[in-house]
Amino acid sequence: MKKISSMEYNSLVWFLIRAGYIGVSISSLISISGRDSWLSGIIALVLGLIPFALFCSLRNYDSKMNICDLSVHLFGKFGHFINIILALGAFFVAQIAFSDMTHFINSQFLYRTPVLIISIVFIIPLAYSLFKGINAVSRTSLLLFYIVIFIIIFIILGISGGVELENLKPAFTSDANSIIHGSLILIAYNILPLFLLLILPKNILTGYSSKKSLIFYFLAMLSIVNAAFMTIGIFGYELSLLYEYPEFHLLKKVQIGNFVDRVESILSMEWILALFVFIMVAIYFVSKTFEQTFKAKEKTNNIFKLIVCLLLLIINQFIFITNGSAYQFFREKMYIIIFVLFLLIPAIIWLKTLFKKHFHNQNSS
Amino acid sequence: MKNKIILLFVCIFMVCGCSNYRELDDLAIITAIAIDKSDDGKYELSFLIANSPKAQTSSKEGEATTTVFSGKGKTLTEAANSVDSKSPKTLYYGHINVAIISEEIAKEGFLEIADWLLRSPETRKQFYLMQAKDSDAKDILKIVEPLEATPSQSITSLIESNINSQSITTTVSYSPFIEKILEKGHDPILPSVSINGKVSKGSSEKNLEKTAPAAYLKLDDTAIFREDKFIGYVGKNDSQSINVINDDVHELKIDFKYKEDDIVFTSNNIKTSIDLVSFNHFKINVKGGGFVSEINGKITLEDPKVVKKLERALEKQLNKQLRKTLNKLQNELKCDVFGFGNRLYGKYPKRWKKIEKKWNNEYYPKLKIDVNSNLDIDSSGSLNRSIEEVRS
Repeated sequence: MKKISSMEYNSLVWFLIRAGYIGVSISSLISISGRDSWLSGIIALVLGLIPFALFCSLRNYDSKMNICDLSVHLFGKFGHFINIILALGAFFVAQIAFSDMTHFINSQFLYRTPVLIISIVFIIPLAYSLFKGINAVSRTSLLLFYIVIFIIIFIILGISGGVELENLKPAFTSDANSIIHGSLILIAYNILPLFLLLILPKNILTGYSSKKSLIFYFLAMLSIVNAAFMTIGIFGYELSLLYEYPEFHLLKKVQIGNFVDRVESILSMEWILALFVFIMVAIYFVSKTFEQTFKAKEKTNNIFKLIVCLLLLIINQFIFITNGSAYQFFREKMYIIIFVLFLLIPAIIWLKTLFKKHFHNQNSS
Repeated sequence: MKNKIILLFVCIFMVCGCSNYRELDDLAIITAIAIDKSDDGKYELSFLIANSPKAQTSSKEGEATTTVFSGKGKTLTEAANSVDSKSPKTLYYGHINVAIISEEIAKEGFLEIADWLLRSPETRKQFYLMQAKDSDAKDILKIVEPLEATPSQSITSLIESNINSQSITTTVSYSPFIEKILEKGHDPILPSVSINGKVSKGSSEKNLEKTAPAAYLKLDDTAIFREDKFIGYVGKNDSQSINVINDDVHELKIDFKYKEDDIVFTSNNIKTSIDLVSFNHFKINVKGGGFVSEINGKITLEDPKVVKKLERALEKQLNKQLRKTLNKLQNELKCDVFGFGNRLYGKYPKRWKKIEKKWNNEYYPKLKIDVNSNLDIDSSGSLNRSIEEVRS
């Protein structure tokens, strides 16, 4: 397998953190934490270091093993069962991200186009890049990362003048439960998906360093805190609550001089790209788990990837009855499922590694 | 061969273009909309279509290049559908520059009609919102003017040039207006537009052929709202004061008297801050510098003592003007267009909840507001002395 550079890996970190922000986390965050959403963001940034450290620890356990190998190594045959659960979880988040992406495009740009057509347009490059392997995914991610950084700088320059601090007052009025709930939402949708990167064993990453990833973690999370801050600072809490995609309406305000205007469609490409990378990584996780669990050959695995993509396409047609029910699901249930899948199970695996190390040390002494 | 077939299959999806694709010729691009209430209680929606064939094919100079379509309905969507059935082209809402509402709509409550444009993904929500004064909103769209190609452009230019030169009106976009309505302790304002002359003459192409148009659009008083309902108008001086207090001034011109002489002061760096002193006490501080743009008298500006005296007279005049406006809004109209209530809510959210419902009628009128101006005359314009002084 070809190696993945540190920068490519960190660009995946960036996209996995940023992807959950559009549609899912920001809207839920504002409706839960209100004007104090930025505070929830900062708390999430700090608390998120726990799962981040957990994932780093799992990665460092054995450089040859990815998470599937590790769970089989620790739990034997039961490890396969854990892997299947994790793969189902990865498919679930990929499905939610795919639904989010197609719904965003359908509701804001192509409202006369059937969702199926939009889905097909995205499924084809998705399947193609998965056939090409993780190297193609990571290289694509790095290329997109440079484009995205330019877009984000452009957005900040274009709207920062419109922030009114009065809109953020009164501060600290949301109760502690709401602020913590908002933080948990951000951790679930923006930080825990980093678990998916554990499908890449450490030995295929050249120049990997936890510190470098931590820098990208901070940058991506700060960009999300900034997005919450700017959305409420510019629109005010009430209007932010009213819009389905307040962050997209924010982009409509981007204006530089009198010549850069009406650029929201181009700027929102950043979210679509982030979601696309997110889905690619999640489906890669599913296919890799399938390959390792069932010892599938390349041809079988490719057929499996195709089936997964088709499933994504089919389920997307009826996953949510309305967007209102989707948001309710995001706010009330989905984050708990993600916590169980991507925090509880990895934590159990991590505890098992500790026991294993402990017994290994006892036996050797 | 197999790969080539797959590649071809992929390309079919990639090169088919967008299914939303519509030819520009097939679109009726709406640049302004007007919302009225008809006698039978229905909404009357009027669209100004900018790209009518006349705009492209007419060779006759001076001919109106726009078209106005109107339709009625119980809901705005029904009214829009009614227009749609009259227009041979698909209506396109993405280029709306201005929306005008009638007084009746404003009195009934703006939120009743706010949803339609806000919900539509095609509209950008950044267009100007105005109120028609002394005429139906749809009539505003019909007035053709010699200086601009379309009425929507002429309204937009009117507001933008005024805000830069006199600050007697304000630019209000659609979503910020709704934001103000939804905010606690903040009432919104809207600029109004009226027709000077007869609509029938203003909508005729002959209006373009005269050196002095028979009818033209003019910016009128500012409409004051309480929450989403129109309460009343304030005149030019009050509008200017509102802009000064809201720190929304580009250029300010103040006329004041010094002894018996009339002087005009112009400033383009006025800054206003509103400080919350206590729960029922605010302080407004206005600072800025500018130049004397007109003197009708014998005043010499070379003497610093005279300049100081002029500055005091100027500050006194501005304070008086601001107090007058505050008094009108606090006691007559009882509308908090400055967001004092919002500031109280920001600082004392718990106490605000107790007074929120009584704010406009009981607490706001009793609010103590100090006004303090600190203006500097930095320059005497292009002249050192007044003409009268040199002449004598």
